[in-house]
Amino acid sequence: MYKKITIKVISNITIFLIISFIVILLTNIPISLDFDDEDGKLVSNMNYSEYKEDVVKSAEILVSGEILEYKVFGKGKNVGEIIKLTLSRSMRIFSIALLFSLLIGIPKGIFDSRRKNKQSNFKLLQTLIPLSVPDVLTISAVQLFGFYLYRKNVSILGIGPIMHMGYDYWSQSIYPIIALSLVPAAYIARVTASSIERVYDRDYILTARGKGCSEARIILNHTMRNVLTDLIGSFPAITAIMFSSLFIVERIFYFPGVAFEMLALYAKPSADGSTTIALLGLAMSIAIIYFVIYTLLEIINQVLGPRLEN
Amino acid sequence: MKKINFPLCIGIILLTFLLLISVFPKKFTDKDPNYEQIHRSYTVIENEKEYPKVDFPPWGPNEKNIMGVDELGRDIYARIIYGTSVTLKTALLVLFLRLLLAIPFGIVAGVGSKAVSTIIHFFNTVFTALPTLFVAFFILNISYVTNLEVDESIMIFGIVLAILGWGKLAKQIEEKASQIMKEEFIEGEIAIGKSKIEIAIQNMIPHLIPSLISTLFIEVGLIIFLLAQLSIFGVFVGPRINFIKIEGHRGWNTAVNPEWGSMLSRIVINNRIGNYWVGLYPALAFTIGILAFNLTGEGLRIEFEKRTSRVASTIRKFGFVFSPKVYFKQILRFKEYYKPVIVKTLSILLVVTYFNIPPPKSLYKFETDKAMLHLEELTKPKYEGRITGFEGNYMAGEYIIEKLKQYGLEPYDGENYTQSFPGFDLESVDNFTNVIVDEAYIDMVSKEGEVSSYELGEDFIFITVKQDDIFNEKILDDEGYIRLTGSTASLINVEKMESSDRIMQRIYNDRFRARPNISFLTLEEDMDIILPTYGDNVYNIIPKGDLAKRLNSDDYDVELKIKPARVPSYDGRNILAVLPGKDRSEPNNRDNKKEIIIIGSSYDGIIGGNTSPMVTSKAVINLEIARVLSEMEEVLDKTIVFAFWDASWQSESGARYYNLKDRIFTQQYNSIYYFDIGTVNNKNNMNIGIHSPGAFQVETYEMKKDITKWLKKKKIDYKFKSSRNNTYYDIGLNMSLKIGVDSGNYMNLGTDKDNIENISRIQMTNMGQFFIDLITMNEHFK
Repeated sequence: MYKKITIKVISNITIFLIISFIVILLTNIPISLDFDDEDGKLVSNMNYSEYKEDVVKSAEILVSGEILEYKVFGKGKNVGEIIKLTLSRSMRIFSIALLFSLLIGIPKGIFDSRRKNKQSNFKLLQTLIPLSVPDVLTISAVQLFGFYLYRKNVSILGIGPIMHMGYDYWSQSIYPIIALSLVPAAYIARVTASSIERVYDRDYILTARGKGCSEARIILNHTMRNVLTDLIGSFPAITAIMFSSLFIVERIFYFPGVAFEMLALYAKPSADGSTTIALLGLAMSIAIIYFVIYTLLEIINQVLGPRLEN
Repeated sequence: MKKINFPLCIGIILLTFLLLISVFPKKFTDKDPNYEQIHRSYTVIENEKEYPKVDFPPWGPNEKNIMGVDELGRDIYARIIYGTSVTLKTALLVLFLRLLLAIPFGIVAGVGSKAVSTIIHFFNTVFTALPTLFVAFFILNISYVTNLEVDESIMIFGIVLAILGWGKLAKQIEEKASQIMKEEFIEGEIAIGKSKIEIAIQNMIPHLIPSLISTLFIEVGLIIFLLAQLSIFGVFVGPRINFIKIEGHRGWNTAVNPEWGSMLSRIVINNRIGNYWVGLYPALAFTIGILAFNLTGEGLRIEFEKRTSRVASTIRKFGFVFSPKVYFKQILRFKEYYKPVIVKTLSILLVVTYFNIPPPKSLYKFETDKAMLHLEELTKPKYEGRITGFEGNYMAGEYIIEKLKQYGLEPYDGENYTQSFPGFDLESVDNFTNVIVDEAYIDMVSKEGEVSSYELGEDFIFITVKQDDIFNEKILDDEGYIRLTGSTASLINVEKMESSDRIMQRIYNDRFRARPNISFLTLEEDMDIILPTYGDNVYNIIPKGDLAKRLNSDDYDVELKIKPARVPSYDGRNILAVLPGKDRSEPNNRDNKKEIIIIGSSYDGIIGGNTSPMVTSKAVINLEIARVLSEMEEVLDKTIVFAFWDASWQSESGARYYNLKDRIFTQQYNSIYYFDIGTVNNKNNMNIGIHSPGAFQVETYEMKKDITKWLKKKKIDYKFKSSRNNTYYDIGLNMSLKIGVDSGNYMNLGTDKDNIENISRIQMTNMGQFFIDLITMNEHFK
């Protein structure tokens, strides 16, 4: 087993290095890059030697760790501080949303699995339609709902009225968290439901029922183990969905996290190239987090999966 | 009871619906998706009183615009309808290209190649959801992609998204293929002695197809999902225009062509201020698109799992019908299979002829040889480069008028062909008038006392000369020269500039500031540029070669010796001639909406002595169009005006004068169309700019589509890109529509490449023929 884990870690590190290289190459491409047809040859307006220099310089700064101390033009902060600030915001809503989606998703999955007597095709529709909704729609629906409440001056549980965008008070993270957790919640519910259904007719469940166990007890004691294995197995997919949703949530809610900051830096490059370095720093930090989480989940999958199945 | 396959039914209904919309958009809306409503007015009743109210876009859903309008006042419903085909096309192209990669890789890996399997695994792990979004964002945001035309843009999207995302599809194919390879019947095939390739083609692929088809539908759903996500970051198919709503504010990029992604991208700004309709409806459109493909895919999967499915057997039959092998066998046994053979042969012939239809013929031909005769005439030395106000240009004007008279065209007001406007102004430098310097010398003395001499033309050119000095006889020396001295260390300014554009910008902006009397503006690269000379408050000189090198390296004492510049002796003259249409004498009213087409080109040159055939080509094309249209037997419905603008290289140009001071064709016409002819160069491409200014807007979407169709059929290398010709802008916005064609690249103007032999005859013909076809054959202008 340890051999397998080592291989996983090594292959993920290799992939990570390749990704870093791609990130360096990409972030240094100027937004104004253009090509023109000059006598049948495609000529670009990019200065290749400059681009090469930039790439080498970025790589050096990145490897030596100087990047964290690099001052960013017009921000009054260095790259390290920006990363720390924005990443902590993003990760806060990310982790709370993940927890939130589990809290909603698993009970909903259990509830869904119990509605057995409907036609199976029709039931499929119920799971397919929510999963076909693009996250953009759900996220914007949450924001519009927030906008409506804000306009009407509605406060819930003594909090509010909450602004539907920005990041001035902690309460403004609530809508982004809700928006971020809905799509994964639907996914988790589906995984849970299908995993319960799969074992529901098994002999050991029938035995338990025969012995007089309550439904609640059967679900909690007998099927949960199976649900957990499936959920852990699908966690890489869930985090992937959540990460791309995070970008959209931050952009639509004007939530100043990593993705928002990155787009802001990309849209307004400074002449001294410091924003490009900052962009690289942010992109790398996202890549690191993404791959650390990814690798961790795969290891957990390798370690816990077989144990739970036993 | 038989079970109904709900997902398949709903999916197919939605798919058919989408397909109908994308093929027949006109059946679903009668609005033009590019028409910009500037405002709307209505009355509200408050306290039993009526109040008029005016709204500016975006406004929400109402009776006229059922889904509201976007920030430019374009109807959202119409844009969704017209955008369907573009979005679906993009998604299907991505799918197709992904398949091209995924099928061979997937099958080879499925048969058992470890190396290919590793490649697939790599792509599959690296480009999961987030990295794909990330990489696509950086690649698809560069100017090159965002400036492409829709079709090319779709292609680039297809390629990029296919390369990034094919791994997942390949993985699925690989898994299914290896599953099939483990089946018992494959063992049987191995036992007979079939090779792996034979097994893959004969046994595996037929089993792969059904499950592949359902996967493909779901994949399209995922691609549309990705397109929706990308649009949030401003990445969408098609060219953009920078839209500035309030002067001084930062503009935003908005798409020209209707497409779901571009519409959804505006959600970022509009959702938070409550303009929900701008983003919500496109998001719903995306949802329907994804749903249609997902449901069909899942429905098909259910269907294929059944053993006795009719859908599955129908799909399997497709392979039989389209198999070339079966077709050949049927031909061999013609007597038995004559029906299918005839049907198939006919359809093949139909397809082949469709792709080989010859280009359509124009009704009236633009004769390039005749145009070239004008070109040869107008570039003769006697016209002296046709500088506005000088003798040469006056004579060129006379030549054009004579030709127009010969063609039987009428003067615009019954007697005059020319419209004069004030030319050279002694008092001010506002007008930036052209002058001609015939003779000038520069002597440079180094610190060591070494003297080097330079001559006008070869070693330097004037961009501006001091206007006051021209008429000041007191400063002339005995030989009649103006002598100026100074040192680069103190009195004379030497500056490095990036480009000639930058120089012009600088001179224009600094006109009224205090500057040193003489400036040398050196260019970084030693290029052979030719620019006109203007009257100004100071001398600005572009040195070349050795002179430029010296000025940049050390300090020198400089002596400048100039013969006073020649100034224009005539006023500016626009030449206008009319080809009357059927409705020329009728009044313009509600029942009879009169329309007029003005075909405009400038006829003045850039610099004395240099005749620049590329610049001359504008007037030449216009003259030939005038000949063709005047010799036509049928009388056109619309009146056509041929306009030859003067002074196009000055800030107060002839076209500008026409637009701001003396517009001859205005109120008596319901709509005015302006066609602008730009320069020809040595290439074959053609840029077409179409713009319908806000106040008198006409619907352009269908028009543009018709033009595209026509040009594609004629196999012309074209691009929709705003003209760079100055008259296209100087003519202003007081019209319903302007269309400009030009070569797009003005790099060679006035250089040694600018000669008659180098002029692209194909480009010239295309430009002229384009307008002739537009006027005589296009539904919108006929």
